[in-house]
Amino acid sequence: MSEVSRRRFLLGSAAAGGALTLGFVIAPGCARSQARATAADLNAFVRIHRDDAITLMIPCSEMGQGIHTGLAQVLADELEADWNNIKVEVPQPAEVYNNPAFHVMMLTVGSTSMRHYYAPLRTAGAAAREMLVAAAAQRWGVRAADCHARDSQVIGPGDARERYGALAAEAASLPVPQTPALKKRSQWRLIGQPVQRLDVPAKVDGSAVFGTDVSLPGLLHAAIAQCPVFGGTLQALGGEETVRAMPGVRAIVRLEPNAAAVVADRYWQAQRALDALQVRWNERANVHLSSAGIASAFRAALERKEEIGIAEDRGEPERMLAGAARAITADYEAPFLAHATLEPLNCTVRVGRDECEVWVPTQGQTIAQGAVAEVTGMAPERVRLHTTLLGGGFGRKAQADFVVQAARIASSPQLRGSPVRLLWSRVEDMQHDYYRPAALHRHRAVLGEDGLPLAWTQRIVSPSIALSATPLELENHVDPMVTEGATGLAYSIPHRRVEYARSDFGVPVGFWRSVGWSVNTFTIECFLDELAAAAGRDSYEFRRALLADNPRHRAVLELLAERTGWGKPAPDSRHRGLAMCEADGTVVAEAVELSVPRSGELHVHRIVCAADCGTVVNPDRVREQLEGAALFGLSAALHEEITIEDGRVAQRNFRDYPLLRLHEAPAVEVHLIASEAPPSGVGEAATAPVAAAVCSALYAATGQRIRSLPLRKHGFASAARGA
Amino acid sequence: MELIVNGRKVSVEVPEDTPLLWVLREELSLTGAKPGCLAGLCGACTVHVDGNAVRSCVTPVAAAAGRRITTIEGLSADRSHPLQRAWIVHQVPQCGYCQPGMIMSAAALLAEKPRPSDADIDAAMSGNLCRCGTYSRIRAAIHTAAGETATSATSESA
Repeated sequence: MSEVSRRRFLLGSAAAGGALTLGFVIAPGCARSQARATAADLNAFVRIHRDDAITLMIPCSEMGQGIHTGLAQVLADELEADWNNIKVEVPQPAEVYNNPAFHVMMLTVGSTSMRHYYAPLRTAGAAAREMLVAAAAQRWGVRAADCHARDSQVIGPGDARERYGALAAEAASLPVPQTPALKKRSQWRLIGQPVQRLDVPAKVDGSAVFGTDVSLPGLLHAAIAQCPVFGGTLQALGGEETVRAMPGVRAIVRLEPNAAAVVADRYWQAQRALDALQVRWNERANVHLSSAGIASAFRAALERKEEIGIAEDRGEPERMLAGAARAITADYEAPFLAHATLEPLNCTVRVGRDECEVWVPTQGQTIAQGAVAEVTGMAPERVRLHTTLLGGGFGRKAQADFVVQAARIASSPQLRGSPVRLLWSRVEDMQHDYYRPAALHRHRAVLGEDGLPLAWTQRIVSPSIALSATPLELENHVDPMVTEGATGLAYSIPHRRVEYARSDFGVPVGFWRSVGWSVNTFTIECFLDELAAAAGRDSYEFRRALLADNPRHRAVLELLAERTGWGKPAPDSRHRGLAMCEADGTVVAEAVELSVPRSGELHVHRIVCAADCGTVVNPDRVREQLEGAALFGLSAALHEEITIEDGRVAQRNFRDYPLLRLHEAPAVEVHLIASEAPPSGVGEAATAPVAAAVCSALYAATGQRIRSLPLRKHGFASAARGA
Repeated sequence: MELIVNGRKVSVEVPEDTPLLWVLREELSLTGAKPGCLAGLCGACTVHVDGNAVRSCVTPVAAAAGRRITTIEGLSADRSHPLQRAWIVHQVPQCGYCQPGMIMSAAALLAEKPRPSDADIDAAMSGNLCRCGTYSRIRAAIHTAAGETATSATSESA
């Protein structure tokens, strides 16, 4: 997430100016830093049990990105914890756990977790280590400087040894060091190592607990139907008596304004009963909304003069373009996209008399807790929130809509006291997403005498993510979540202007892996390729020239070219394209190698990815995230499109919203720049350049310029794997 | 109705047309098989019936009565199945939601073709969707489990 988006991501009027609270800034004797019967909390992140087991509080959601392992490595390394005896817990929301990127909430979005918890967790681990060493030194009557910690033990002069479990209570009562000594890089034992993921064993034997799997005594199940037309409402329910008499049915719940749910003893009973319920919707005005209408409105907005946000304005681009003999113009379109997490949305809530409990695969703990508090009328502290594993998130599970629904259902008089799990069907999940917004971009540029872009303008026409998915307002008509990736480009282009023409239709939009970059990198890198061609230059050389003043970006691009073999002939009938961006602080460049064996058939053989993501905490996690993000981008480029007909999403399941399949997935080769800069975000960045790299390669293969996605719209289907 | 699940006989009382997936998850507390699409399109619900990979979300329980049903929980008692070991070596799972279904599809493949080619793997596995992009690691893990050497050098530091 861009710096601007992050600073502005505040809930209501909550203070932005508050100091960063770090887990270790705790007065001795405070409730958090306290000895318990069986364990002592050295600070909010480190709990040491009497038997030496250590629980690490990692305030992030594990949705596949490996953050539980990565941040545990960071904390455990400074703490000198025995890696074989640690476990990770996601704590209850509390100020001390807030994501430093946002200040006011626990929220796992925007590839911010490693980037922003890295330093605080190193400090928390180091502080706890120093307290443990101090406790041992005190006990032995020696100097702390003559002791050291290793693998959950303190070792002192004369080989005196004591385990952390035996020291923790004493240590927890000592003063908290305000500036503990962090390890030097040469002392790292876990950071930088390809340590195996803590969650993998449970994910290969079926024991991993996702939101869908939480088991509770007396658990009831809810199935939901939401009005398929955006903005429509629930008008009437029919056949309620019949449905109530169906096996296992406990309740029918109206969820004004636009949904109804049936609750039963078993999920299948609930779904069957819901199917039997006659639900009438009042579809209202949006029923006339269609993709064709949206495309038309977008085109009109290209010319709009009012309410245009200026996201960037340098030099005199309009004057340069007006005076130019030959300005180059191209329009690009991108569709709405669904998150399609394999685990559909679900949330389990039990509403008690004056407390309640929630089990949910959420990316936004504070938001979810607050939403349940509001529904139940209880204070947030009375809402105990358990974050389960997430079967994918990609930004969707940061929203609270499904949490609110579950809380409302569980609050029904006849259901209070029982835990109820709401599970959305795939159809509901597909049709009630917060989509990656559709967009139309107009790019214009003029080349200077040196053949490089002299002036560059981009108008982005798209719905607003901020207005749809957050409580934020726009300032001066700019939505930084939509324009991120379009501003502050590393390329040296002297005259630039980026405009945003908000164009909303009542289709909910939100954060989809790489957010603003997902569209902007596609259009920018495609347009840059068109400019390169106009200048008669190679895609790589053109970019390299534009990065003459930017060594970090240039190094990534050069590494990519070298490992791809750019400039050398590709194997038989294969063609290459490349694209790059800087997203979430990570510079990533990707090359795609593909062939077009027959007209309309496309075979992607290889994706090469080069990245500079700063310090690599775990090279295998980074590699895996870049692989996964690249294939996520490839899936969208080849196949994915959400269309609107008669005010509703036309797609229902994976038959009409196809995802990339195993036989189409190339290997992704990952090459990392060695860096000692702090870690930057890797969960999303590699998604953004893929579409443009594919289109660039397709141009090389066919001479055809693709300016809209997905590729199957242009008659390209994946070739079956051939020899 | 009597079922044989992971080698044990169990008795369940459910309507005959209840999908096997829900019987496993809700009557027998075997939550490894997952609801993904509930339409047989994603493979997250894959289990074995008499050794064949089936989509339990669209298999009525009556069709599996009296047959040997194997779920991910029954593949081994201790993650010792070659596929589970290979999945750990290659660090395959990211979110992990699709992986029980993936492993069951792969197990059915290896039972039929102990040394599958890439084309065999494509044919057997392309019905299982993964949203996180673990496909190339899945392929490598299947080859490893099949006893071939994994030669996958996918990353280096510059």
